[in-house]
Amino acid sequence: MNKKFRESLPSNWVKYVVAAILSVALWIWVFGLYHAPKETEKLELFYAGEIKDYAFEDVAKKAFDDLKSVSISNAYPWSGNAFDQKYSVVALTASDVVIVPESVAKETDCKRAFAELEGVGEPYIQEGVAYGVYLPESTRERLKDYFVFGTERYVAFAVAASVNSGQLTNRSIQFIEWLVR
Amino acid sequence: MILFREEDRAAAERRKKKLLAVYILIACAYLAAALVLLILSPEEYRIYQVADIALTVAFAWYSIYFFTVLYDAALKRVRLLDKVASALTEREYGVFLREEEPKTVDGMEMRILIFRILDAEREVRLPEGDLSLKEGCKYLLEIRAGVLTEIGGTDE
Repeated sequence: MNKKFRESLPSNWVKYVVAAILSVALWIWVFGLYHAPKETEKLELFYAGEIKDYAFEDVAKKAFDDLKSVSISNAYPWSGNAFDQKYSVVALTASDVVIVPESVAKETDCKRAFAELEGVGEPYIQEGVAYGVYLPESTRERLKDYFVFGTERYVAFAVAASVNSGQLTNRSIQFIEWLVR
Repeated sequence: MILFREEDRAAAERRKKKLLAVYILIACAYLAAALVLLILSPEEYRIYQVADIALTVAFAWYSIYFFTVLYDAALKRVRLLDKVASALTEREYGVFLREEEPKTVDGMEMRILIFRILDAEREVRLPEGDLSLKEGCKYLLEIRAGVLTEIGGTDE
Protein backbone atom coordinates (compact mmCIF):
# COMPACT_ATOMS: atom_id res chain seq x y z
CA MET A 1 0.00 0.00 0.00
CA ASN A 2 1.20 3.56 -0.76
CA LYS A 3 3.47 4.85 2.03
CA LYS A 4 1.79 8.26 2.22
CA PHE A 5 -1.64 6.60 2.39
CA ARG A 6 -0.53 4.38 5.29
CA GLU A 7 0.85 7.41 7.09
CA SER A 8 -2.39 9.33 6.59
CA LEU A 9 -4.59 6.52 7.95
CA PRO A 10 -4.19 7.16 11.70
CA SER A 11 -5.51 10.70 11.30
CA ASN A 12 -8.06 9.97 8.55
CA TRP A 13 -9.63 6.58 9.33
CA VAL A 14 -12.60 8.27 11.03
CA LYS A 15 -13.38 10.09 7.76
CA TYR A 16 -13.49 6.79 5.88
CA VAL A 17 -15.87 5.28 8.44
CA VAL A 18 -18.14 8.35 8.54
CA ALA A 19 -18.18 8.51 4.72
CA ALA A 20 -19.33 4.88 4.52
CA ILE A 21 -22.09 5.39 7.11
CA LEU A 22 -23.31 8.60 5.46
CA SER A 23 -23.34 6.92 2.02
CA VAL A 24 -25.61 4.15 3.28
CA ALA A 25 -27.93 6.59 5.08
CA LEU A 26 -28.07 8.91 2.07
CA TRP A 27 -29.19 6.27 -0.44
CA ILE A 28 -31.69 4.67 1.93
CA TRP A 29 -33.28 8.10 2.28
CA VAL A 30 -33.06 9.03 -1.44
CA PHE A 31 -34.52 5.75 -2.71
CA GLY A 32 -37.25 5.85 -0.05
CA LEU A 33 -38.19 9.36 -1.14
CA TYR A 34 -37.96 8.62 -4.88
CA HIS A 35 -40.15 5.51 -4.63
CA ALA A 36 -42.58 6.82 -2.02
CA PRO A 37 -46.17 6.42 -3.19
CA LYS A 38 -47.77 9.64 -4.45
CA GLU A 39 -50.88 10.98 -2.76
CA THR A 40 -53.00 9.39 -5.52
CA GLU A 41 -51.30 6.00 -5.09
CA LYS A 42 -52.05 5.56 -1.43
CA LEU A 43 -55.10 5.48 0.80
CA GLU A 44 -55.32 6.59 4.41
CA LEU A 45 -58.22 5.04 6.30
CA PHE A 46 -59.38 6.27 9.69
CA TYR A 47 -61.46 3.99 11.87
CA ALA A 48 -63.23 5.15 15.04
CA GLY A 49 -62.80 2.03 17.10
CA GLU A 50 -60.45 -0.83 17.81
CA ILE A 51 -58.38 -2.50 15.10
CA LYS A 52 -58.12 -6.28 15.45
CA ASP A 53 -55.72 -6.98 12.62
CA TYR A 54 -53.82 -4.53 10.42
CA ALA A 55 -53.66 -7.22 7.72
CA PHE A 56 -56.66 -5.42 6.24
CA GLU A 57 -54.11 -2.95 4.80
CA ASP A 58 -52.74 -5.69 2.51
CA VAL A 59 -56.23 -6.99 1.66
CA ALA A 60 -57.36 -3.51 0.60
CA LYS A 61 -54.13 -2.82 -1.33
CA LYS A 62 -54.50 -6.00 -3.36
CA ALA A 63 -58.09 -5.13 -4.28
CA PHE A 64 -56.85 -2.18 -6.38
CA ASP A 65 -54.15 -2.58 -9.07
CA ASP A 66 -52.68 0.90 -8.87
CA LEU A 67 -52.85 1.31 -5.11
CA LYS A 68 -49.36 1.09 -3.60
CA SER A 69 -50.15 1.63 0.03
CA VAL A 70 -53.07 1.47 2.44
CA SER A 71 -52.57 2.57 6.02
CA ILE A 72 -55.06 2.58 8.85
CA SER A 73 -55.10 4.89 11.81
CA ASN A 74 -57.65 4.77 14.60
CA ALA A 75 -58.88 6.36 17.79
CA TYR A 76 -61.41 5.30 20.42
CA PRO A 77 -64.62 7.39 20.50
CA TRP A 78 -64.94 6.76 24.25
CA SER A 79 -61.61 8.45 25.03
CA GLY A 80 -63.09 11.97 25.12
CA ASN A 81 -60.75 14.84 24.19
CA ALA A 82 -58.05 12.51 22.85
CA PHE A 83 -60.51 11.15 20.31
CA ASP A 84 -61.74 14.64 19.39
CA GLN A 85 -58.16 15.80 18.76
CA LYS A 86 -57.22 12.84 16.60
CA TYR A 87 -60.55 12.85 14.80
CA SER A 88 -60.27 16.49 13.79
CA VAL A 89 -56.52 16.43 12.98
CA VAL A 90 -56.02 12.97 11.47
CA ALA A 91 -59.44 11.83 10.30
CA LEU A 92 -60.92 15.00 8.85
CA THR A 93 -57.68 16.46 7.47
CA ALA A 94 -55.15 13.76 6.65
CA SER A 95 -57.33 10.77 5.77
CA ASP A 96 -59.06 9.72 2.56
CA VAL A 97 -61.83 7.52 4.00
CA VAL A 98 -63.34 7.66 7.47
CA ILE A 99 -65.46 4.94 9.11
CA VAL A 100 -67.25 6.03 12.29
CA PRO A 101 -70.22 4.94 14.41
CA GLU A 102 -73.43 6.79 13.60
CA SER A 103 -73.26 8.76 16.89
CA VAL A 104 -69.92 10.27 15.81
CA ALA A 105 -71.30 11.01 12.34
CA LYS A 106 -74.19 12.94 13.91
CA GLU A 107 -71.70 15.12 15.82
CA THR A 108 -69.74 15.91 12.64
CA ASP A 109 -70.46 18.85 10.35
CA CYS A 110 -70.58 16.69 7.23
CA LYS A 111 -70.95 19.69 4.91
CA ARG A 112 -67.47 20.95 5.89
CA ALA A 113 -65.75 17.59 6.30
CA PHE A 114 -67.01 15.13 3.71
CA ALA A 115 -67.65 14.87 0.01
CA GLU A 116 -71.16 14.22 -1.24
CA LEU A 117 -71.73 10.54 -1.98
CA GLU A 118 -74.63 9.70 -4.23
CA GLY A 119 -75.73 6.35 -5.62
CA VAL A 120 -73.61 4.22 -3.31
CA GLY A 121 -75.46 1.81 -1.03
CA GLU A 122 -77.70 3.09 1.78
CA PRO A 123 -76.96 6.79 2.11
CA TYR A 124 -76.27 8.66 5.33
CA ILE A 125 -78.06 11.98 4.99
CA GLN A 126 -77.42 15.19 6.86
CA GLU A 127 -79.45 18.33 6.12
CA GLY A 128 -80.93 16.66 3.06
CA VAL A 129 -77.61 15.75 1.45
CA ALA A 130 -76.10 12.26 1.16
CA TYR A 131 -72.56 12.43 2.57
CA GLY A 132 -71.84 8.88 3.66
CA VAL A 133 -72.82 5.24 3.29
CA TYR A 134 -74.02 2.90 6.02
CA LEU A 135 -71.95 -0.27 6.24
CA PRO A 136 -74.35 -3.14 5.56
CA GLU A 137 -74.38 -6.23 7.79
CA SER A 138 -72.60 -8.22 5.07
CA THR A 139 -69.69 -5.78 5.16
CA ARG A 140 -69.45 -5.92 8.94
CA GLU A 141 -69.44 -9.70 8.72
CA ARG A 142 -66.68 -9.61 6.11
CA LEU A 143 -64.57 -7.16 8.11
CA LYS A 144 -65.12 -8.58 11.60
CA ASP A 145 -61.68 -10.23 11.58
CA TYR A 146 -60.02 -6.85 11.13
CA PHE A 147 -62.23 -4.33 12.98
CA VAL A 148 -64.09 -4.43 16.29
CA PHE A 149 -67.63 -3.19 15.64
CA GLY A 150 -69.96 -1.95 18.38
CA THR A 151 -73.71 -2.27 18.46
CA GLU A 152 -74.32 0.99 16.55
CA ARG A 153 -74.48 1.26 12.79
CA TYR A 154 -71.26 2.42 11.13
CA VAL A 155 -70.93 4.96 8.34
CA ALA A 156 -68.17 5.37 5.74
CA PHE A 157 -67.32 8.82 4.40
CA ALA A 158 -64.97 10.23 1.76
CA VAL A 159 -63.02 13.14 3.24
CA ALA A 160 -63.58 16.29 1.18
CA ALA A 161 -60.00 17.57 1.67
CA SER A 162 -58.52 14.42 0.13
CA VAL A 163 -57.17 14.50 -3.44
CA ASN A 164 -58.76 11.05 -3.85
CA SER A 165 -62.30 12.31 -3.23
CA GLY A 166 -62.77 13.80 -6.68
CA GLN A 167 -59.98 16.39 -6.96
CA LEU A 168 -57.42 14.16 -8.71
CA THR A 169 -58.91 10.68 -8.42
CA ASN A 170 -62.12 9.03 -7.20
CA ARG A 171 -60.22 6.40 -5.26
CA SER A 172 -61.95 7.18 -1.94
CA ILE A 173 -65.38 6.63 -3.51
CA GLN A 174 -64.19 3.48 -5.32
CA PHE A 175 -62.88 2.18 -2.02
CA ILE A 176 -66.18 2.82 -0.26
CA GLU A 177 -68.03 1.10 -3.13
CA TRP A 178 -65.72 -1.90 -2.71
CA LEU A 179 -66.32 -1.91 1.06
CA VAL A 180 -70.12 -1.99 0.82
CA ARG A 181 -70.44 -4.29 -2.24
CA MET B 1 24.26 20.22 -11.29
CA ILE B 2 21.02 22.12 -11.33
CA LEU B 3 18.48 20.65 -8.94
CA PHE B 4 15.73 23.22 -9.35
CA ARG B 5 14.55 24.95 -12.51
CA GLU B 6 11.77 27.45 -13.07
CA GLU B 7 10.20 24.87 -15.36
CA ASP B 8 9.92 22.52 -12.37
CA ARG B 9 7.59 24.99 -10.71
CA ALA B 10 5.44 25.34 -13.83
CA ALA B 11 5.39 21.54 -14.26
CA ALA B 12 4.27 21.11 -10.64
CA GLU B 13 1.47 23.63 -11.17
CA ARG B 14 0.36 21.83 -14.35
CA ARG B 15 0.39 18.47 -12.59
CA LYS B 16 -1.72 19.89 -9.77
CA LYS B 17 -4.30 21.20 -12.24
CA LYS B 18 -4.29 17.93 -14.18
CA LEU B 19 -4.91 15.98 -10.98
CA LEU B 20 -7.87 18.19 -10.16
CA ALA B 21 -9.26 17.89 -13.69
CA VAL B 22 -9.08 14.09 -13.50
CA TYR B 23 -10.86 14.17 -10.14
CA ILE B 24 -13.64 16.36 -11.51
CA LEU B 25 -14.07 13.98 -14.47
CA ILE B 26 -14.33 11.01 -12.12
CA ALA B 27 -16.82 12.94 -9.95
CA CYS B 28 -19.01 13.67 -12.99
CA ALA B 29 -18.88 10.02 -14.07
CA TYR B 30 -19.86 8.92 -10.57
CA LEU B 31 -22.76 11.37 -10.40
CA ALA B 32 -24.03 10.28 -13.81
CA ALA B 33 -23.85 6.59 -12.88
CA ALA B 34 -25.54 7.14 -9.51
CA LEU B 35 -28.38 9.15 -11.03
CA VAL B 36 -28.91 6.64 -13.85
CA LEU B 37 -29.19 3.84 -11.28
CA LEU B 38 -31.73 5.83 -9.28
CA ILE B 39 -33.85 6.88 -12.25
CA LEU B 40 -33.88 3.39 -13.81
CA SER B 41 -34.62 1.62 -10.51
CA PRO B 42 -37.86 -0.38 -10.52
CA GLU B 43 -40.28 -0.83 -7.59
CA GLU B 44 -38.09 -3.68 -6.28
CA TYR B 45 -35.06 -1.40 -6.10
CA ARG B 46 -32.85 -3.15 -3.53
CA ILE B 47 -30.11 -4.16 -6.00
CA TYR B 48 -29.95 -0.68 -7.50
CA GLN B 49 -29.79 0.83 -4.03
CA VAL B 50 -26.92 -1.45 -3.02
CA ALA B 51 -25.09 -0.56 -6.26
CA ASP B 52 -25.52 3.14 -5.55
CA ILE B 53 -24.30 2.70 -2.00
CA ALA B 54 -21.23 0.76 -3.20
CA LEU B 55 -20.48 3.42 -5.85
CA THR B 56 -20.83 6.21 -3.33
CA VAL B 57 -18.65 4.55 -0.72
CA ALA B 58 -15.96 3.93 -3.36
CA PHE B 59 -16.14 7.51 -4.60
CA ALA B 60 -16.17 8.96 -1.07
CA TRP B 61 -13.12 6.92 -0.11
CA TYR B 62 -11.36 7.87 -3.32
CA SER B 63 -12.16 11.55 -2.60
CA ILE B 64 -10.73 11.33 0.90
CA TYR B 65 -7.59 9.60 -0.45
CA PHE B 66 -7.33 12.14 -3.27
CA PHE B 67 -7.53 15.24 -1.10
CA THR B 68 -5.52 13.95 1.87
CA VAL B 69 -2.75 12.23 -0.08
CA LEU B 70 -2.51 12.86 -3.84
CA TYR B 71 -3.70 16.44 -4.19
CA ASP B 72 -2.24 17.44 -0.84
CA ALA B 73 1.21 16.29 -1.96
CA ALA B 74 0.89 18.15 -5.28
CA LEU B 75 -0.25 21.32 -3.50
CA LYS B 76 2.59 21.19 -1.01
CA ARG B 77 5.09 20.67 -3.80
CA VAL B 78 3.78 23.73 -5.64
CA ARG B 79 3.93 25.81 -2.45
CA LEU B 80 7.49 24.71 -1.75
CA LEU B 81 8.59 25.49 -5.28
CA ASP B 82 6.87 28.90 -5.09
CA LYS B 83 8.73 29.61 -1.87
CA VAL B 84 12.04 28.52 -3.38
CA ALA B 85 11.48 30.49 -6.59
CA SER B 86 10.79 33.73 -4.72
CA ALA B 87 13.58 33.38 -2.13
CA LEU B 88 16.96 35.12 -2.17
CA THR B 89 19.79 33.05 -3.62
CA GLU B 90 22.75 32.22 -1.44
CA ARG B 91 25.96 30.94 -3.04
CA GLU B 92 28.46 29.45 -0.63
CA TYR B 93 31.12 26.80 -0.50
CA GLY B 94 30.37 24.06 1.96
CA VAL B 95 31.90 20.80 3.09
CA PHE B 96 29.49 17.91 3.14
CA LEU B 97 29.55 16.33 6.60
CA ARG B 98 26.70 13.81 6.69
CA GLU B 99 23.09 13.06 5.78
CA GLU B 100 20.54 12.73 8.57
CA GLU B 101 17.14 11.00 8.73
CA PRO B 102 14.57 12.56 6.35
CA LYS B 103 12.27 15.10 7.99
CA THR B 104 8.86 16.42 7.12
CA VAL B 105 9.12 20.14 6.48
CA ASP B 106 6.09 22.19 5.36
CA GLY B 107 4.25 18.87 4.89
CA MET B 108 6.86 17.45 2.51
CA GLU B 109 9.40 14.78 3.25
CA MET B 110 12.92 16.16 2.67
CA ARG B 111 16.42 14.75 2.76
CA ILE B 112 18.51 16.54 5.38
CA LEU B 113 22.12 17.28 4.38
CA ILE B 114 24.55 18.77 6.88
CA PHE B 115 27.27 21.04 5.49
CA ARG B 116 29.97 23.05 7.18
CA ILE B 117 29.59 26.54 5.75
CA LEU B 118 31.77 29.39 7.02
CA ASP B 119 32.87 27.33 10.04
CA ALA B 120 29.32 26.56 11.15
CA GLU B 121 27.20 23.45 10.65
CA ARG B 122 24.16 24.13 8.58
CA GLU B 123 21.19 22.01 7.63
CA VAL B 124 20.28 22.13 3.94
CA ARG B 125 17.15 20.40 2.64
CA LEU B 126 16.60 18.49 -0.57
CA PRO B 127 13.04 17.53 -1.61
CA GLU B 128 13.94 14.46 -3.63
CA GLY B 129 16.47 13.00 -5.98
CA ASP B 130 19.31 10.53 -6.21
CA LEU B 131 22.04 13.07 -5.44
CA SER B 132 24.89 11.35 -3.63
CA LEU B 133 27.68 13.30 -2.01
CA LYS B 134 31.07 12.34 -0.60
CA GLU B 135 31.62 13.13 3.03
CA GLY B 136 34.42 15.60 3.56
CA CYS B 137 34.26 17.01 0.02
CA LYS B 138 33.78 20.69 -0.68
CA TYR B 139 30.98 21.80 -2.99
CA LEU B 140 29.70 25.10 -4.37
CA LEU B 141 26.13 25.36 -3.09
CA GLU B 142 23.20 27.45 -4.28
CA ILE B 143 20.62 27.60 -1.53
CA ARG B 144 17.18 29.22 -1.68
CA ALA B 145 14.78 29.20 1.29
CA GLY B 146 16.98 26.57 2.95
CA VAL B 147 16.64 24.24 -0.05
CA LEU B 148 19.57 23.12 -2.17
CA THR B 149 18.82 24.24 -5.74
CA GLU B 150 22.21 23.79 -7.40
CA ILE B 151 25.43 22.05 -6.50
CA GLY B 152 28.77 22.31 -8.21
CA GLY B 153 32.30 20.94 -7.78
CA THR B 154 35.04 22.43 -5.57
CA ASP B 155 36.74 25.74 -6.31
CA GLU B 156 40.17 24.13 -6.70
